[in-house]
Amino acid sequence: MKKLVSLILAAVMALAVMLPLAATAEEPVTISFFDKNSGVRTFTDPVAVELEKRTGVKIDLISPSGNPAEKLSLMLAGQNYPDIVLMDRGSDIVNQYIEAGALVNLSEYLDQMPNVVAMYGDTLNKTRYSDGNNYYLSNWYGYDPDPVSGFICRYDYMIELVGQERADSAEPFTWSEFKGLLQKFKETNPDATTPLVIGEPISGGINSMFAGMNRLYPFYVHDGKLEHSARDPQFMDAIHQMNELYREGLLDPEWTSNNQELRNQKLSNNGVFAYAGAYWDTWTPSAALLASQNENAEYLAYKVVNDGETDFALPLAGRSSLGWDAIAITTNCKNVEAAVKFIDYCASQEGQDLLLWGIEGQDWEFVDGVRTPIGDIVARYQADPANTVDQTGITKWTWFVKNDVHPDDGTTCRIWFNEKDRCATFAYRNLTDGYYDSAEFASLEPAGSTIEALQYQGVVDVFNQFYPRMVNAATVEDCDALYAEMMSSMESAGLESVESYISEAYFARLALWGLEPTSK
Amino acid sequence: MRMQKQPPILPLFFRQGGAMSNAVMPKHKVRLRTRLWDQRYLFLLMLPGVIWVLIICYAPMSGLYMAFTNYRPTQNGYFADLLGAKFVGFQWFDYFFKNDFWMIMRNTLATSLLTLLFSFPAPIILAVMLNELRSLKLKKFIQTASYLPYFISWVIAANIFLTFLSGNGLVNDLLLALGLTNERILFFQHGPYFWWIMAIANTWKGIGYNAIIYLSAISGIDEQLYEAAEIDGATRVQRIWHITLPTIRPTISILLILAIGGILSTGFEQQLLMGNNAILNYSDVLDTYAYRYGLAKGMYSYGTAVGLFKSIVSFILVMSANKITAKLNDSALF
Repeated sequence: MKKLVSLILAAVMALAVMLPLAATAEEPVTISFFDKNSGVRTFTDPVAVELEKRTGVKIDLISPSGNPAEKLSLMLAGQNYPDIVLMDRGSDIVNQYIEAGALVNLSEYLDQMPNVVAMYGDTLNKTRYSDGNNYYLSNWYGYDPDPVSGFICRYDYMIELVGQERADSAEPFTWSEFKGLLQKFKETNPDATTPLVIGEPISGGINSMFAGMNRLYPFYVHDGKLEHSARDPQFMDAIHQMNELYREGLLDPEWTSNNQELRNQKLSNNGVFAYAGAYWDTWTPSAALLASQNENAEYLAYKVVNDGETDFALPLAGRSSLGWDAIAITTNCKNVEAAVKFIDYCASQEGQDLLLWGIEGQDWEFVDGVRTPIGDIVARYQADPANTVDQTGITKWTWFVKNDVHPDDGTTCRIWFNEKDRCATFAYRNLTDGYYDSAEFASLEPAGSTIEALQYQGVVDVFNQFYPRMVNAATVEDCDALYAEMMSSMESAGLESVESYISEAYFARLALWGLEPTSK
Repeated sequence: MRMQKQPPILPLFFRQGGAMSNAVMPKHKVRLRTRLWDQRYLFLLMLPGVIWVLIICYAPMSGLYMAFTNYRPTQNGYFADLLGAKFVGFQWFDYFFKNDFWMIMRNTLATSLLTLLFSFPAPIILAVMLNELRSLKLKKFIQTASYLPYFISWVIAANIFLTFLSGNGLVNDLLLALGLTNERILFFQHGPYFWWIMAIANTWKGIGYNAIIYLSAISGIDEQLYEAAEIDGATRVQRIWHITLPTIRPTISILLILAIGGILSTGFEQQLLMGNNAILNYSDVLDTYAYRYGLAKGMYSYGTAVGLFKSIVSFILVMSANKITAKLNDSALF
């Protein structure tokens, strides 16, 4: 009996020792991931589960509760950032993280990331830091075939105003023609207080449509240096156009105080003819209008060019081929090898297909060598985009996204855009060549705790205050006087010193990339 | 014969510990060490609170040193970075005073003083009126209704104000219908309007909460005072003026001191949510300015310097208000 008890005890002890080892061997590595775009989403959908299964990495998603920029800044100050961070590439936060030594030098791991090297190509060269190393990988990189901004007009009103044939034509409108349409719309709809709604002001720049029509770049490349775009001789042409609309009651008088909800409310009512901005901004109002009005009551994209413009392919807005976001491994990551493997899988074509097309055999399949959605998945998305994305997990986790079509079958990188509805068809047709690559101008601003950074912010603050006041000026003379006052205030805030800093950074970047400066 | 003062009746816990065993003795006759030992259980009770204050309130103050350095986070750890940061003296303060100081102070004080103008008397008036209501049901309803905005987040409140005060909003419809204006007013396009909107919004949110404090003070007033005044023929207004208001004066004083101390803390979320670039030179206050530079732009040292300036001025204001109210009334915060 004693022997039996001893044997059982020995067996139990042996199992107790071996079980944790077995569990350790199978337990996936956990990587904490801060995604500034993830909102309140949870990493539990079918795509997320499949990604964890394929990579053997468990993702601990860190929620960006509140303002993601604030959270990133706080994490940096407290040095308690997670293993991987996804941040805004256009913001100076990326440089702050690099300068703080918070990011792992990915150049040392490129030999372990063959998929990254193959997919990113020359982008890796352009996303190098000034020391020549890669500290992050771009998200939404490459030249995106998806168009961006234009004058997005109510199709039913457009038919009323110019007739079906012209409304369906791909020929751009000239500025005078378009302004005439706004005036005619106001005359025929006396209650319409806002014939044209524009996006609320963004920090440090003017509305991209008006900037694009007047060939304004983020900076004015002049005399061998980069100057503020307000110094561009055509800057005031753009401001005068907007001011003219405001004075004639054609521009939404409250454009500066709009937010997404208020803007959508206005666009969903019957008093608006057009919206100047990204063509996807009007999706929600269009859905509401189509349901409540008529089959043509939706916003469709049109191109407007300045009078006398001969280049109809003139790009209307800037968009960086280096992407919206930066994804990096931080020095807090305890298992860099696992993080590198995870990233390499996500960046691979197979990983991209999983993230942006879903699970093969369940959401899509190859038919005659072409990726084809299964069942009504695209129809479900078109009817209810938010819930379909949330339930299926497809395009819910947009990481390491390459803006391109599949090289093997020519299908789009995202399953939803393989079949274009009328809105997308108009945008793709009318806004062709709708933007230029602004990669070389991105993130040149001084960052962190320096006097130059303070001066830069001071200049931006002055610009932000004066831009709406110039547009909303009662007379052209007032508008011009405000411009003079703005330039003087920006000079006092240290504009020249900021421009010198930015120019230096710009030419250093071009030298790093081996490029020549852009000329207008 | 000299009467021996009786020790107070204490719970068993204190008597066993002997915490108050020397309570009857003159202080100077008892040695400090003995007194500390006698009150050891009271100190033990106090200990968690003291530790909490030290860790949560005082320890982070070491970070104020950041205002005098050029702090840049690296991989050496927070304290190593802080202590190793380059000392720049008053450089950040100097930049602030030479650049945005006057605009930011003007906006902060204008918003605060207007808020104080409305939000200080409003809850007193509401509390007194509620106290005079005969219908208990109506009193409870108004009290609850006025208290609710306190629980509404600024995100929702800001959207309510933005919608109501928009060009096509309810307020403009009302003003036009009443003939008070001929054209729609664009409230969020004119800077000075913003200060008034902030004052009204702050008052609307806080009126119910502050009224409860006054109501509890009013409920402590001896009913016999009112009865005696009524017998003497005092009208309702006279009873309010001569009994209610003088009795709640200490509460009013303390809330006034706190309000003056917080005069530079004029709000944060409401400015960020309701402000826009067209009126940034009217909506930007100390808190939003420190946030924009310190956190959003990662200029930690500059943001800390602006925050420290605010704290010092607030401290001086609290001390001054406390001194003044202590002189004018018999009540003060400390």
